[in-house]
Amino acid sequence: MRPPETELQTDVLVIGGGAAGCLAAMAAREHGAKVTLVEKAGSITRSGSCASGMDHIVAILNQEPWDTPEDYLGSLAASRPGLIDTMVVEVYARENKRVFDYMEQFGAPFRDAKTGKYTRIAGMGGQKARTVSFKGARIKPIMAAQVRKLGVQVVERVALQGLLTGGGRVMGATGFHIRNGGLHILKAKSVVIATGGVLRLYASPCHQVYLTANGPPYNTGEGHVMAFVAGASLANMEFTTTSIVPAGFSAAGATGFLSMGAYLINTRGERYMFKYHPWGEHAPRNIAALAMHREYAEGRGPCFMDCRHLSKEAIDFVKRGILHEKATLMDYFDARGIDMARDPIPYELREISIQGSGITINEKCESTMEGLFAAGDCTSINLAFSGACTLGFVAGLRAAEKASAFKGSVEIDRRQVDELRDMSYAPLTSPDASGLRYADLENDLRQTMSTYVGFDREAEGLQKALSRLQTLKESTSGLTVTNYHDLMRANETRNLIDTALLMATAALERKESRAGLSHCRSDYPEKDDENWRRFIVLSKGDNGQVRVSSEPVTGR
Amino acid sequence: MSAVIDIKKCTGCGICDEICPGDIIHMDEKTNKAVVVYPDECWYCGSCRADCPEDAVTYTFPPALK
Repeated sequence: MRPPETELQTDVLVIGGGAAGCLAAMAAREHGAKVTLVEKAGSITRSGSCASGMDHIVAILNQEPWDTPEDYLGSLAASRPGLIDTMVVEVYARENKRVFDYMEQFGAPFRDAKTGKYTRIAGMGGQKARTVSFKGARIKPIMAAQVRKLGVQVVERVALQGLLTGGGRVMGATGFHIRNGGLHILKAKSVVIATGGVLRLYASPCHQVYLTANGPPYNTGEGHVMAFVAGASLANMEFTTTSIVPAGFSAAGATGFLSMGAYLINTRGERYMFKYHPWGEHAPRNIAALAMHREYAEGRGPCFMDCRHLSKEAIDFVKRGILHEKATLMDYFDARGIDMARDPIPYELREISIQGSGITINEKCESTMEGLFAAGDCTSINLAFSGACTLGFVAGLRAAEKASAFKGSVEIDRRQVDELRDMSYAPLTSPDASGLRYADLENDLRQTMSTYVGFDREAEGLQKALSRLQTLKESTSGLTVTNYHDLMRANETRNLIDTALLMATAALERKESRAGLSHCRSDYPEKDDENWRRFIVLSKGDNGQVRVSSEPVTGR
Repeated sequence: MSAVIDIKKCTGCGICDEICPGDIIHMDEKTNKAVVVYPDECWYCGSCRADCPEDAVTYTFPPALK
């Protein structure tokens, strides 16, 4: 029996209902556009990276002489060792306060309820107290309520299959309902992709694949792949983001500890961070990851987060942060008998994700494809929660302007719909489905990625990875499922493999090492600004192959 | 290893089914109680516990690495 079909038409289609997607939907709606927000999870109330809360946001508020966009932009190179498009970051820095104020207006609890003031701290990769610490356990329900209040049409439990295009521009997207399988054809004048980073690509140190640190394990590159297939270019795909996490339980939260003055120590009790960076524990995230990697590799592990010297007030502040961002971490400490005032907390590396690797955007958050916008972790710029909100807002506004300027009619090509449907339903319906389970195929993928596209990369290994990944891609025709939840996962597996191929391609191209553990080539261990201070850009070639090119990094 | 629902406390309101970002909790049509159908796919985000009006959710943890 063919699943039911639903067709919708809107001005602006936002794909993904996390922080960036919610702000994009709000901005487009405030501009007067008809907006549809489509989300794979059950509800935008609890979806995306801040589903369970967020305890800090970087802000530029003009409260201090240094608290300005100019000062922020001036410190960028030191705090963010990767490659970043300064034109887009300038937009972020200048729009940040407007979006921050807008969020406060609809109820974001950025101020201390008692004093009415902001609590400013210095986060990872910063010496100035630009970060606002806040009690954000319910930030996502607050954002979701505003989306609904503004009259955005919210379509939940729909996993996207791909973009619809015509006349050189985007015309919408299709997806399927993850409980009843219903096909959704979503026609739109402009589209914002806000599907987040890519998790689940690497083996987990705690053998719990879905216990990911920097974002939900349900973010698997749908946006990256659909943009690439439709013709948009991607950049920075070779760079990974690695976090340091409590051993055995991958959870974000290092910012809270380190901003309060916790030490990172090795098994000898030495504070090792100053060996690697003059800012010590305030070093950028990927430097902290590189340092821990070296300490373990050279036999000085395990490493620990050490709070024993902190005041009770500081420890209470850290705990408060955990409770407002990932409360289950406190349960984990309790289950393991860890008292952070008494015990150094064992820490390990989690080779996690790509964030800030993806869809190339310009200062309007527009991709290289007409009518297609993007914001948040799925783009080539990673500015965390603050960036997702600010640039999500910009993307929504620009997408609404684009939609109102579009005077043509939205025409979809039924053959594209059929192709996307057949591809995504194949594990349920195809005669080629041979019983292969997505979990098994994914384990092969993670093994390949951790072995060859992990911390220490070199040409021969990356070529092996590409060959292996191509084999895995061919194997996807054998994926078999019996219900729509598993169909969602099987499609995620396919997207993960496609994303991994793009990552390995870019990693092979970049013949240098850069940004801590983000991209370490053992055959090219040094940074080489002369040849490689350039973005590696991937796009679809005429023959369907990946076309690799490079573009200079402008500005600072 | 995942969120665990105490079916004695669960009243079948369906909030956890609705808000679980991983679609791992489904309502059992026969018992009208919430069931963690895909425990291996739990992110431990804490959303189901935070939003459960009956305080019916706890978490179990993976074994410690020694």
